[in-house]
Amino acid sequence: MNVIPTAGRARIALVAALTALALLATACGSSDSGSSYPRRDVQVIVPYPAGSGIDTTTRALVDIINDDGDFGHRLQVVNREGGAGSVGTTAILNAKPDGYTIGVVPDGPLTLVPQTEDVSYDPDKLTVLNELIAGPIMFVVPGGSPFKDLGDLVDAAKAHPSSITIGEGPLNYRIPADLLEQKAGVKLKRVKFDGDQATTTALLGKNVDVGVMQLASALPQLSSGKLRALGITSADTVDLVPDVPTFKSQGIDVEWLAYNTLIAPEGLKADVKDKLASTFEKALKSDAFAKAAKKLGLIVSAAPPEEAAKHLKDKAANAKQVLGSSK
Amino acid sequence: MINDLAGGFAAFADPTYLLLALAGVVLGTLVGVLPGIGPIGAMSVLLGITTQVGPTGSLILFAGIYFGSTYGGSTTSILLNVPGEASSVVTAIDGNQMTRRGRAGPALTIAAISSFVAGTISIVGLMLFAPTLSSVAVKLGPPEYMALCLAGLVLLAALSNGSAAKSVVMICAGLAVGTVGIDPADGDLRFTLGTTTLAEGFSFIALVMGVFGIAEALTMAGRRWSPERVSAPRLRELLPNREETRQAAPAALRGSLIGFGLGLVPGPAAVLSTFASYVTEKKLSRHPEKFGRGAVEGVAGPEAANNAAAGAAFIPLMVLGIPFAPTMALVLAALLLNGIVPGPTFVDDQPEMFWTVIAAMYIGNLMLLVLNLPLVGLFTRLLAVPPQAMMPFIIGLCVVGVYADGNSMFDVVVMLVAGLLGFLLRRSGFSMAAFVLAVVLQPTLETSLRQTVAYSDGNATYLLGRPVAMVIVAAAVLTLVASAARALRNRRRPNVISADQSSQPTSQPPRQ
Repeated sequence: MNVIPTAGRARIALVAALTALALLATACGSSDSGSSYPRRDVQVIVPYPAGSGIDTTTRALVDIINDDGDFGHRLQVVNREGGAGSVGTTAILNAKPDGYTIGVVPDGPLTLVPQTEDVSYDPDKLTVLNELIAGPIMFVVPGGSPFKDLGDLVDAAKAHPSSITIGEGPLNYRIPADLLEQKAGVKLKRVKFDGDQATTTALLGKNVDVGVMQLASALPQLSSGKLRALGITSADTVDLVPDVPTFKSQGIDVEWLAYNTLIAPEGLKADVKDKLASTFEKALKSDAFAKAAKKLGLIVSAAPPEEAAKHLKDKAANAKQVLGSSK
Repeated sequence: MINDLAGGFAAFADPTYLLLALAGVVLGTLVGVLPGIGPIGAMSVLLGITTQVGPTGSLILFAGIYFGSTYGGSTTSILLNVPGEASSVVTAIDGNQMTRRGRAGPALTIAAISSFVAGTISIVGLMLFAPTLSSVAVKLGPPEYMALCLAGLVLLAALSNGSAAKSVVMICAGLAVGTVGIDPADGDLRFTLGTTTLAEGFSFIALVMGVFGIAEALTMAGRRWSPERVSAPRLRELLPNREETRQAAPAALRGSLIGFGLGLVPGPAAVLSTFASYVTEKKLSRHPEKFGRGAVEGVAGPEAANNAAAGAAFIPLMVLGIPFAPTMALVLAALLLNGIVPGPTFVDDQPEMFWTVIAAMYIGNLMLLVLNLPLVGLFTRLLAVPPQAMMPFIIGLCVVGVYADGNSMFDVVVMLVAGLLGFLLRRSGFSMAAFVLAVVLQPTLETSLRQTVAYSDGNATYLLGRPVAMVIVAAAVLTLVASAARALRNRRRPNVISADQSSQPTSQPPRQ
């Protein structure tokens, strides 16, 4: 598994050399190569480190597109991590809108973070391309927990206000917990954890009663029975975990999805946008990606640009109510 | 377990791992032999390549360096009375006396075999205990983690060589530097001066390469240097006689146990364990007057102890995700850079990695035994290379490594500034190890502190209901009091343990 980055580097070097040759050829030769995009390799910025969930997803997709070859040039994943995604998002949105810098971002830096932080980019000035992943959030308890469903949790929280501990984290986890408190009229004791692994550890050691986490992170522990899910925030039950009921079916009106979306700077030309969107749509709907996603515990969305943009807008508006009222 | 271990060895069908293990032990031996640069320096210079070699590869490489340096450090202690490492200071006392009495060969052999025995014992311990301890460690919550971090820092300050006050200053500096960047709980930006460059905080690689790589290079370059004359013993002079073997064997076993035990608890275990073992051997010996004049036990015990401590130190790292020693802080950094967060679920989540690393330690120890004895002559000849000649190379490696890690010139500047500051501070006796450990522990300490506050609603009596945390804090406080009492007693009667140190005229001060 460790050979990949090195091989990747060698490949990048090769590709860079070829690109240089190609550029040289264009420079010496004709001016009539026209407007056909792409004329060189495209950088796909991921604002999280290599090996992170979103990076694995993006690389799986990019490999499919590169192996397919129809795009004409290669896509290269570039990790620009830091600042909870703000460094990479800035790099994408402040790049030239020429189609050679695009990126895959979680929705947080676009929909949630700008509502609580000053950010160095304008979250409304962008071109939304395809939606890759739409992942629900789950409320998870240790295998031996007395809570069988959300109703038990709500009852216990009513009986002992502010004493049931819930492990949450970034805004994408905090808001569903806020929503549960609002809709059920309860108060939980909130403890922030640093990522799903830390929350899982705390659950296994019974240091928190309930944990909020992504489906993909909980999946291995759910199948081993060490953890149990109380509810999932998707609209319908999910094939990967058919036994986990939705929040809605348990009478708590919370629907919450975390998206991974392909974006580009504002002002992308229509033909470039179409080319990228159709290329990614094809890859997203491929069997190879479906297989990879299943292995990773991801739910493929493949929503086209308009729908993806609407999802982001709705989520930002939704979050505004919660964040506004909790401030 | 046997199957798992077999799987771990099977991973070595991949020659990359074998090469990494070999590179690690050779490099470790080299930095162990050379008095200027130590395992921390070597690891920090190599941090930049850890994402290329992957998490397993990095662990193999770093474990090799760590074990190698404890072997290599003893060579110069014995032959020249120049400890290559702080953990070999004690070995020099009797080891060099043996050399002066013409028993250099047996001393080297005893040191190497004791190291090997101890290394093997600690690996077996790691293998047996880590999975079991994980299931205990998973129960520890934020208050216990907070207590462990505090204990780690307090004990490092109290037990390291040099001024405890200066260590405390460096720990505070490290904690302060660690707070720059995104707040782990609320996501607020802190001390970023409005820039995105600092949003992710200072690059750990840049800081470590600065205060160890660059600062060490500068320190060495400024040193007066004259080549040492070394006569390495011939191969047939290496074997100890029967009596020496009889004395060495139990000492090595006791040293292994002492080292293993101390390696599990916070503090500079490798160095402490050598002192502890030396004192134990002297007390148990029927002829304590021989100590300081070439006692075999004085070589076998401490050499076993530091190696066992090196192996044991991996346990808290893998089981708790908390490094108790600066070298382990670097191993942790290498894992984090690869997206691996060690903790109570590490052995369960990453069984292949765990067992491959265990296998790597076995293989590395064997390599060291095979390499060390025949190649003693070669390694000691390295001392004839003027350190100034290596400095440009080390600094170049640091600059390239830091830049390659983040493609950021800012990181290079951070490294150079940290290097210069580190160089000046070291000259004044401030410990960089304390600084680095504080930087590494800061996120865990802060997160667990804030979680504890959330649990307790800010009510401090909550901690009384967490007995494990209280025991950890109490143990740290007791050690602190004991070490303060000892320091006071030593001030009145200034030759109890320091007598051991001052009796040997080292040409260079041992580094931490």
